[in-house]
Amino acid sequence: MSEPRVLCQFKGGCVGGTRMPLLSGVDLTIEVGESLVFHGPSGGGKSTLLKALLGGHHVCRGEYWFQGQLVNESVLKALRRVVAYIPQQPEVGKETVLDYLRRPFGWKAWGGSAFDHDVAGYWFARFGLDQEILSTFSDKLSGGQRQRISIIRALMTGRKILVADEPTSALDDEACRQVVDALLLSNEFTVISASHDFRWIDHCQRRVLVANGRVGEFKGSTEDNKKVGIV
Amino acid sequence: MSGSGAVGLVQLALFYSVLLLPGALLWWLGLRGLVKGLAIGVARMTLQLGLIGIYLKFLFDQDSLWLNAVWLLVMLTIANLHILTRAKMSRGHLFWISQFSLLVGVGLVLGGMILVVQPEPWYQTRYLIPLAGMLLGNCLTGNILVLERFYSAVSERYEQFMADLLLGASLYEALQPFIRDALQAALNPVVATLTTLGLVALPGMMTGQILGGRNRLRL
Repeated sequence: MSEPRVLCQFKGGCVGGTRMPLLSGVDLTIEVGESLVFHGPSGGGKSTLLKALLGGHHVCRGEYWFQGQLVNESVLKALRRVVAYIPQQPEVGKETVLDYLRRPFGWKAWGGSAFDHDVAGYWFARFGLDQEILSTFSDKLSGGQRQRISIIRALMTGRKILVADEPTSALDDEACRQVVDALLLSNEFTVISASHDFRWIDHCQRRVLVANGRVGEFKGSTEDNKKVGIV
Repeated sequence: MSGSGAVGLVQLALFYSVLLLPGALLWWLGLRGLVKGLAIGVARMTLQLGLIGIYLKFLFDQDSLWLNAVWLLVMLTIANLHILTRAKMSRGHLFWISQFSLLVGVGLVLGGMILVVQPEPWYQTRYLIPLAGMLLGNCLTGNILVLERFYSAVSERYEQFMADLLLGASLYEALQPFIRDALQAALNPVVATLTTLGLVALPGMMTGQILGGRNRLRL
């Protein structure tokens, strides 16, 4: 059996502001291939921590390593080329779904790869979406449709490392199952996520509690979580 | 000129009373800040229009290149400061960038206009100052609209901006949809004016010339 490879490491860093950081003393190692979920009360810093993984928030008074390199501006650029981010509340702007999905293919970081209708069609079918909505303006979609479109946009990058913020919060049971199947149970992706949703949390291999300004491994069961009211 | 004459202070005051109706309506709708802004705007406009006769006459009499250049710079700086204030931008950070952009933008178009009109000498005040004034007036509206729209869109849809950045977009790439929205919002009124220029705006502007007996096909 090969040794697990370390994807990224926080070594004693603070996240979310320098004077009064939202989280401090963050020690965390995430390995390639695992599915990890940050859980805990709202406003506890889960989303902030996820964004910090991608350089959306500064890590201060500590170190953040990604694939064996101390993260700085140039490593950050490389990092954002291998990790796909799925936002919590996808605000898709005033464009059609097709334009929304296509737009990143014009970005430099996507390396000139072309938008592939077949790949889009595959994910639409897998997530139970009708391709007719491609020509619909994004602001006319339901919350659940928008969330799945946002996931598809990330998956169309072809990247195998996903950072997902509440990926199932607006989904019904059937759509949630489809997303869990594709992202977690397929074992194709490394998934780092934040969630309050047991339908998602229960399928993640690791749970990390983010609460009271601290980050720590949680070994208890879902029932324990419910008892202490942290999810 | 038949049918036109000097407007007295009483007539002017009576005419301004038409503003009472929209003013009262805005007040009733709770837009008191806007009513205050309207009142200050009208007062400033009246003062400026009162003074314009004095300073324009002076500038026209002098017809000096350097005086015109200084006056253009004053107009440009006032427009710039007004744009930054109304769009709630930092004057300290953006003054020179905005000043330079206005100077280049207005300078290029003004140069083109002078080439077409060919006044003698080229810096003749009665062409240079009104043309620059019209250009700066349009810049003022367009810039305030575009900046306000841009910054409010970014703050309203911050998550979209952040999501694109974290998905690998460069700063410019992530801002592109917002830039497009802002330009569209700012240019829509200009395009609307252009498409109806001969039917709505221009007859109004040219009435004075027509009443004055000027040939409408010549400048």
